[in-house]
Amino acid sequence: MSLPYRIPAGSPLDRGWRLARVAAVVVLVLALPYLVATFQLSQITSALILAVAVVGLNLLSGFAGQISLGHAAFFGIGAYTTGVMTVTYDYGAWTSFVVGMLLCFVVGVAVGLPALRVQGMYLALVTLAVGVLLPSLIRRFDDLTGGSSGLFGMELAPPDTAYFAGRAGETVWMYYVTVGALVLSCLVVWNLMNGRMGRAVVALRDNEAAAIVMGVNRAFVRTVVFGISAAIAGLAGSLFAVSAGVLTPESVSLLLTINLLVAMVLGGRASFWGPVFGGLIIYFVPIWTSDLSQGPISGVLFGALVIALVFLMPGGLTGGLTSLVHRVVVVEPRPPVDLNEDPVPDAVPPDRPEGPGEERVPAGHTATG
Amino acid sequence: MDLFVARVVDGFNNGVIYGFLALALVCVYRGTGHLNLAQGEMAMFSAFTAYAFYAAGLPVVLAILGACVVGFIAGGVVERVLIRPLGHHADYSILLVTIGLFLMLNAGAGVIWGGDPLPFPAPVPSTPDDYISFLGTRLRYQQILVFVVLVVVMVGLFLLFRFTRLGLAMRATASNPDSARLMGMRVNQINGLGWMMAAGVGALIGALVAPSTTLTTGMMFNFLIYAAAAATLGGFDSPVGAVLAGIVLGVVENLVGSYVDWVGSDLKQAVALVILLAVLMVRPTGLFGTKKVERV
Repeated sequence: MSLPYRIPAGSPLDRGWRLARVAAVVVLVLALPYLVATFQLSQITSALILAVAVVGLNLLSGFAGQISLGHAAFFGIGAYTTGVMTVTYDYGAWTSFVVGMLLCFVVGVAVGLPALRVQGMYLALVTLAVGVLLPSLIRRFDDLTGGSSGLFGMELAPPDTAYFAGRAGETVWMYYVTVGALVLSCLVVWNLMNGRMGRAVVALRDNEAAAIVMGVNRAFVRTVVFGISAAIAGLAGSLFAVSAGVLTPESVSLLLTINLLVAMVLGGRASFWGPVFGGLIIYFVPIWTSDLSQGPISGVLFGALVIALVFLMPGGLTGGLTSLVHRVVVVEPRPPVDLNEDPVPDAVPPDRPEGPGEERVPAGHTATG
Repeated sequence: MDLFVARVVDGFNNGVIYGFLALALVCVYRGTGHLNLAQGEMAMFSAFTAYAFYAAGLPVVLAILGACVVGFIAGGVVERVLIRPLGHHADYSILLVTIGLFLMLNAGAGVIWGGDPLPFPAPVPSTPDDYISFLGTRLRYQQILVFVVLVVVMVGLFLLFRFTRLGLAMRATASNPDSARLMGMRVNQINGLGWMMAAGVGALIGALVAPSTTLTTGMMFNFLIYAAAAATLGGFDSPVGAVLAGIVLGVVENLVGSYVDWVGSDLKQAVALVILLAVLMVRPTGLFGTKKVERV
């Protein structure tokens, strides 16, 4: 049997292959708390929180193609909403999550409005301005936000069961909450992109003028996508606030935006698994490089790695993995069934001369060509 | 009144630096149509190179010129090796490469020269007595020098872009690389030249600013944000606009920061960014930029 092994789409084998992948992910997610130590689990949680933020950024910058250099601001708004509401005003953490997301949605729409007028690099600069503004606002209103000295004491109390008891139990609880948030935000993006809205988003990205002519409501689509993307980043911020327990203006600085962008592109832009890989890369790679060597050399290594990955894996890690898997297994789309065709295909001689109405190319040929 | 003049002059001096770095951004943009996020770090690294030449025994002026030459060549190498292979339309890849470059240069300077600030000598006398009195405030020779060099570079670039064949070719490649190539222009070489000029100008800024900021790995980071704002306000394709916008930003920011208590020093940076947002609302291509006409 020669590789790649070809599976026709929709066949039982294809369904089994999909089911196996889903099952593998579910098993991995459920088994992780038992496989790794508490400290490593909390590291994985932190990486997945970044992944949630990257899911948000990926919706805006990946699928919709609008570069944002300010997503740390939305992350920060979510984080500080949770921080201020739970620590200063004693609201519950869950309430603050919802309020933070709503607030981020509103701010996202407000930033998205100018994005209708400016494009490309100018939009990048508008978002950069927003991203740089937030830390200075946090420092300015220090009676509310704690300013440079930071905001402390955010937590998300686990439900009162034996499973989540104690220090280790809290880590497991935070892990599951984060996985839940990640799945939720992925589902939102998945549903959005696989519907009418998603086609409008892609059409606007690929050819704006043509999309508008075809009746896409550009203002609505662009601002709503901006808002949802901001809300997801805000959710990540809220999770960060309760999992880290401490917030400073530095934690939502431009550096975070840069990390999120790097994560998005390295993971695989406009893909669904990309943000998850990206979040893990951006969290663990700097830790490994600083294990390899001390001090600023780890920064040089990280920068070099970013550049190297751009050249070696243009499609990001997801693209690289996909082409690797495609060497082994390829799912082939099923040939389209033509209702007007002769019901008995065998009756058609294979090399009959081309006549009018015969310009249709057999689907098998297009798939390989 | 004296205080007011002093504050205007302070703001002006900062603005000159913003405008200068904005010029470098404009050079790259005119070539490839991209924002080089590593521009500030390239300038910083060049300033350290100038320091290395000076420490090796060269006179200050020669050390700075040497760093400019090194920067010029290095800019070309970066464009040839890291940017050109990615092609014209790889916006994200190029953005990411400049981020990678940013991280590498920033950490690299720390590895080579250490994290402590280094004193950098000024090419003009700069003892506390070397100043010209102007309306009751002090204009230091060093600051005047930066301004004069800025004006020379700005006028030079303006003349280059506006009146030479090369400038025309650069404008053509920036606005439509594919058509320019069909018209027989050597698009890649022209883009490379844009990067080289930007890196050369950047080296000049780094070395000229270093005496007042002291030489550290973080010296250019804030300037880059302002410079990006200035280049945006001025319109990314106009050197004169970029410099004027930089100076206006510097002065307004300093005045608002000093006279409006509510703003204070924390929100000084915010003033510049709010101006940026406000202008982009009204004129999406900046004050002096030309509107890009898109044909469908």
